[in-house]
Amino acid sequence: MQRRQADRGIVDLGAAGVALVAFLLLPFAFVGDMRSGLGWLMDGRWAFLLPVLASLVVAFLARQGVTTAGTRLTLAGGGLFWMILYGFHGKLIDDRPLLAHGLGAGLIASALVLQGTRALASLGAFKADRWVATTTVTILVLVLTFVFFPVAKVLGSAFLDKAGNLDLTLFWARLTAPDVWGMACYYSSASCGVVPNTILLGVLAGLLSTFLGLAFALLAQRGGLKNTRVFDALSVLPIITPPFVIALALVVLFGRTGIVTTFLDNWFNIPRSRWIYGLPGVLIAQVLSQTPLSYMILRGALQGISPSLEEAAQTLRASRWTTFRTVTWPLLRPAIAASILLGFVESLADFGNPLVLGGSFEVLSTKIFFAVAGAQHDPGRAAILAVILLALTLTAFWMQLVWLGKKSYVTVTGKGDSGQPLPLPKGVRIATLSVVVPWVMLTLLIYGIIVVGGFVQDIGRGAMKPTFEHFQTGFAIEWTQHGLFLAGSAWDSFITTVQVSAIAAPLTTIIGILTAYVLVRHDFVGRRTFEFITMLAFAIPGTVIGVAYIVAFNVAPLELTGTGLILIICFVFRNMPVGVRAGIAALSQIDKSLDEASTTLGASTGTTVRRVTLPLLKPAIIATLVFSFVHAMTSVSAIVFLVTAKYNMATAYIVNRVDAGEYPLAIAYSSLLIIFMLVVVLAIQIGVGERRIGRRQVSGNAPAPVAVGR
Amino acid sequence: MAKAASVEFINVFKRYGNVTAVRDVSFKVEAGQLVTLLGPSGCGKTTTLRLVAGLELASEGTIKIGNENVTQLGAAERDVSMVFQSYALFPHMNVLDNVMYGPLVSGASKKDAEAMAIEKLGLVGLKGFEKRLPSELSGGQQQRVAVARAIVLEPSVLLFDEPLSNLDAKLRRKVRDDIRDLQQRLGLTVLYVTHDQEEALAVSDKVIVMDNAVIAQEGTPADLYERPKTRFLADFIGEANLIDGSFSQQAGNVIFTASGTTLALGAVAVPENAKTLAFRPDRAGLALDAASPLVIRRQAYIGPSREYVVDAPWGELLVVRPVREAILPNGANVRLEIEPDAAMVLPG
Repeated sequence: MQRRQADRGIVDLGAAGVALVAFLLLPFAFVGDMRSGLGWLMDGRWAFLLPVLASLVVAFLARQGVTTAGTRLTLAGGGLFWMILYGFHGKLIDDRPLLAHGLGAGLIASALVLQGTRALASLGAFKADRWVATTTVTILVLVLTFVFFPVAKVLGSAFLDKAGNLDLTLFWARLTAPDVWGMACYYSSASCGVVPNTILLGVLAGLLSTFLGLAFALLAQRGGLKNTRVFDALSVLPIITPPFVIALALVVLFGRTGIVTTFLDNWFNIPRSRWIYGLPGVLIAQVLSQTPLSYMILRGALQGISPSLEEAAQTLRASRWTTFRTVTWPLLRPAIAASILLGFVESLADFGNPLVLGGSFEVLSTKIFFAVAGAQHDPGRAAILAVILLALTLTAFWMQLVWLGKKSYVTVTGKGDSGQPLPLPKGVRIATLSVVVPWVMLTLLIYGIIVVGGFVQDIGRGAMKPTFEHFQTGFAIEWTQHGLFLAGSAWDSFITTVQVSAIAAPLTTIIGILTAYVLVRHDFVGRRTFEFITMLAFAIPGTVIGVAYIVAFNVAPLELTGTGLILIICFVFRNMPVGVRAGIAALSQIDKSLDEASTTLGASTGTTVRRVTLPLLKPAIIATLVFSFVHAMTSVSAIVFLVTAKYNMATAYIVNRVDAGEYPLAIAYSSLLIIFMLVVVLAIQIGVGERRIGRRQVSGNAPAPVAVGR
Repeated sequence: MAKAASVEFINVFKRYGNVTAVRDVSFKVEAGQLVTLLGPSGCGKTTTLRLVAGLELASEGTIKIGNENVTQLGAAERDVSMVFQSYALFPHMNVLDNVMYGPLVSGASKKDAEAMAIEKLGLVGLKGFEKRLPSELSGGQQQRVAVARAIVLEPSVLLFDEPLSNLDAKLRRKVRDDIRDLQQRLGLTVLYVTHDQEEALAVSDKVIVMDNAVIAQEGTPADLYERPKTRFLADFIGEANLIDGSFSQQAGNVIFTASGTTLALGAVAVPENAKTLAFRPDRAGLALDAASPLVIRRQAYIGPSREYVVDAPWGELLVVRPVREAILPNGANVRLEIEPDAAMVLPG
């Protein structure tokens, strides 16, 4: 058999061709003037010509083979550098205003990246694997552009005043403002600063949700219950619930005119109050949505404790309680710490619940939003707050890394373990039951409100007359002489949301899974850094990303705000770490020798990925698709900064309805969203089915759906 | 399959950071031969095999397949196939698709690929299993699919990485013979990695023993078993009694002295700085001798023979005698009689 031929520069030639066509025909920018590169050249912007020329020369050199690789790398790199330089500092070169870069510019840059990475591989980098080189560098460039660049820009803008000049005194004044750090609430009736508030809320939410999650996990795993399906079902709900919906339901129940409040007032003469607005309300809402995640983490850890360890303790004459205290509990501790930290981070990133329930209790995420969207419109102040929020989140992640980095006792050996897990001591069992049962009732009550709320007149005021009025307002469909007409006021945002999510989900999956593949399967210089950078995107709260995108992409050379594209980009890079995690988990289960077998049979890396790796990764791919779709549909924090009248998203629309006091419509819309996502998730699951490899059932390695700050 | 090619390593090194996995290794595998790389785990044998496959690239030195220098070529560009220890059958493809994979990704038409695959499946005796999934096959059948998939491209060199390690003991002998049979029938060049010395001796034209990243000795199976060059080799291949002591000449006879006892070895070659006497447990006899300081400590009946553990002034000895010989009682004083030509004199 003839083996694969060496590189003859065909790909380089194709790339140069694309760059040339893009230069001649396609609009250079994304918004505004739609002239092509050639058009701008005629206008005297000669700088546009250089990158295309570089690409053409590289293609010519690539025909000559490996010997020209050094020159090609220099040329492609130089072309890219020139594009960046001209994009950001073009004024210094030809004294003309900066231009927005769009499709044409993007294609030319892509061609240069492709050619540069192939030259790099020819020089021996990435084990001389061109495919890996191109994939890795492309992902890196994208992450740098759409995560690092905006965040760096926010960090920078924290030091600028409104006119854009460096102002360190203003920076200091903003950083140390009393409404940021004030502790007045502990010794007077004044309210505290936003940082103490945020930390207090985060710590409480982390502790409480872990406590509840532990109770659920112990009961499910050791409590001797016959059927724990209710727990599992409840743990799925928060994933498909937009984050502020729980807050809405809490208002309906416990607000001044809420159902429970009214009941208590009428029957027990307990006066109405606004206690739910502030720390208690936000805390309850956050704990409600965080407990299921804690439950999943801790249940996994409990399952990972080999029963024979506990049996060993018992054969050494330890009582049930002693065994629990001396064996089970210490083995659980790392998972508990992880759960607390995650709860803390999620609370910090949460935006929807404080927005609805916060009242005068301000936290960082909402304060950032009002600094940008409110009357004061002060991006510099928002940037400072974003920096503080980012610092808090990163500290939590860093603590997790330092404390928990190597402390995992989870002992899954692959050997059969026939031992029986120890049942809970009686006292513990009763205690967990007395916590779990009321909490399940509260959760059911809340989802009941969401289901019923859309179909009655005004559940917030106790007007329970059944009606379809709210769905009529939002989702009316009329027959006109022109055919179907979507008359409801919510249709636009709903359709945009579905479209944006449906485009973003596959892109997220591709980038996430490919990143995981490159990280797990290939070793190259800077792999650790690459891993760190991709995972860092995970740690950045949505509110920070939102502010960062506004600051970074509002001006040339990357002018994207107000477009649908920025929504898609935002989702792709917010959710990409979910794909990376799912991919890494799944790949580490697949023996590397499968890839190698394919390679020794003459398949290129690209072919191996397509025909062997990706088919085996199907469960992880599906999980990522579902998660990124659902996260995109339910995300609020980053997106409220980026929506416009033309590209409005469902969640932003609902938040506005809440703002205007139209609770029933908001609830109706929310329930519709939840049902829509349930249908989509189920359809995907039924459509794809379980992967069957012979007699062995392979279930998907779905990661815990943990993404910070939807 | 007329184009079996030789494999040659010339001063090859492979380093991972500070660790050298293969140090200055040179050898040649003639076309059409089966050569085994044998050694304890971590000795560098698998790395050497992967260097041939192109799954690792050499840090230094030259690797040739046939007359072509392939040192810088990746695995996909070398005309080499490999049977993996885990078989690495693609679990999402059936048997036929697995075997067709090589021709397909190399650009053959589906029809040709299928014909080639079916031919090779016949060769390994798996006709009729085309539509099965790998998980629906037994370990031995999976192994044969892996072999069929590896030979379908008619490679110049075929590599086996511990192919028997996942099979049970009974099946091992049969599969081992099948592999040798196939290799000779098709005239393949095969490089075979194992840590099982018996397996290596049984199948190979030549055995290369590696230890600690270097080649310890290479030669025919008989060479290695009967004429090991070092203490490590005598101990690693087969069982051996190793006694440290000194050698002297007496009227054409070599006399070995250890801990005050002497043994006459007859006319054997004594290399410089000889320090160790080695012999195989089944190449020495025991005779009752009240004056000897050697005492039988215990014995075990293992079917075809009896094993005696003997306490000697220099330590413990193992001697294996046929069952038909008279049994010697525990506690008896015995004299050791090493058979002529069975004594191996080794440097420290």
